[in-house]
Amino acid sequence: MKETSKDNTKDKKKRKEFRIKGIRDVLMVTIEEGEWEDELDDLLEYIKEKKDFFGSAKLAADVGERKLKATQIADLRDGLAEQKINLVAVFTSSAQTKSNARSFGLETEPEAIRITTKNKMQILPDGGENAIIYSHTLRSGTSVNYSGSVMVVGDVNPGAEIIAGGSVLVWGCIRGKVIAGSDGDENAVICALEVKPLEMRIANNEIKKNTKIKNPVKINCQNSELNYTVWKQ
Amino acid sequence: MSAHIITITSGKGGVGKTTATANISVGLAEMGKKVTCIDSDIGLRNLDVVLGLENRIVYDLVDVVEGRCKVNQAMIRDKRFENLFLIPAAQTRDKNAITPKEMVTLCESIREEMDFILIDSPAGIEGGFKNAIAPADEAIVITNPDVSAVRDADRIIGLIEAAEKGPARLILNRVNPEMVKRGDMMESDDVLELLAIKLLGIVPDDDNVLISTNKGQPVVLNEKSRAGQAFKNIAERLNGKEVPFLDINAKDDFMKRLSRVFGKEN
Repeated sequence: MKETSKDNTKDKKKRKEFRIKGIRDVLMVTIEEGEWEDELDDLLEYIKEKKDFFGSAKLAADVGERKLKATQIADLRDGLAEQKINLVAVFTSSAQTKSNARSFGLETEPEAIRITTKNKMQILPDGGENAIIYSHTLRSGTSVNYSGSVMVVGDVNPGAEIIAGGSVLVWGCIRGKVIAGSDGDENAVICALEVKPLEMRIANNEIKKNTKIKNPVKINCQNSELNYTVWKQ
Repeated sequence: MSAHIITITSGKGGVGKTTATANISVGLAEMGKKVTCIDSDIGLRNLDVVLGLENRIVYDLVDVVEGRCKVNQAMIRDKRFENLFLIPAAQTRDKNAITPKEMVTLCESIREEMDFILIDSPAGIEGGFKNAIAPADEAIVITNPDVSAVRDADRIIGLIEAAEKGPARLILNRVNPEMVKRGDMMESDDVLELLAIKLLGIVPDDDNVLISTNKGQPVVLNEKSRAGQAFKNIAERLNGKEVPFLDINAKDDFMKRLSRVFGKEN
């Protein structure tokens, strides 16, 4: 399988073909059963040859029930990055692979790709830090894991979670789980119109259980304690 | 004629999908509409029982898909309404016996002959749900006013949106006004605020539902039942008519009771 062919068209049958599907602006490739390292080499080779088709696409990889180590996922991501392709998601039925993929901030649910790519846009706030906007309610089962800041125009429902390296702004009610400054950044803030979360913290500072704030509020960190600024009419 | 295909789903089990499918189908049939309901809960079929048609099954959904019979051979005609049909699920197979694509093909093959096709979805968010939602023009989410059912409804609404079948409409089932008053049950408004989709109907908790289910006589045919009335209203709304929502707090309408005393009802 490793042979490199000189003629792209005639040698097609010998080479491995991959199933590619488009979901919104993301291309999904299915990586069939087989030794991971071999499949990975084949895939990268395949993409290289079809550079015109792939361009600098966003790619989601369906790896089936494979149990992948974090390093194996990193190999895939880095191999793709070399070809300017951005790995955004890994779909799998293995819990281990799923959690490893999440640790890289990759999406693992097909519906996340469908929803997020539709309504997600990238902005660059002051200082060049990255942020993403979701212009719809995050419903139960949605997980947003992002190294920058996250803005939601809608609610964060119970069973949904946001884990952001930066700040979290919600134009709606936080009922689910929100973590800002997940890497320990105490300068991160959480703002929302209404707050009654299942779980919420900034860096390592947890909000008190059963907190309910019915007015717009900004929560920040001061000397490792949470500080609430509530707007009242 | 081209049918409107509606999938009834919930995420959580036991909230009333099958009861709702049966009653709405009968409600629409009673209005003279040509209706087929499909039980897609393969392996756990019971729409046939609720409709009282279990002893008439010869062929089922899987038989059609696998080519053992024609689709109209598997359509059981209801004994009360000649314009109501049921395609039952197979009991001895599982959800993997059919694919979403096959469901679409099957629904499209009868779409031209029907006004409505109602699909009773199995519980859960896996293959069975995907089969049920694939052919849908519209989805109805049914839930109970309890925290776990509402959480699952929220999840399923997200999946319906992701499948581009949204926005779904909501039926809030088994609302017990006494318990709401005591604060032991979620208020309808709280549920609606959280789920943020359009309300199609509120069905009060009613013992008649269970009684009629066991008899195979959908409660919608019972004129005295408030749940039956609620299902009838839902059928009317699906047919495009504006019907005001039942006052869930009125245990029994005073005027109605009065007219019953004077024998004006029935």
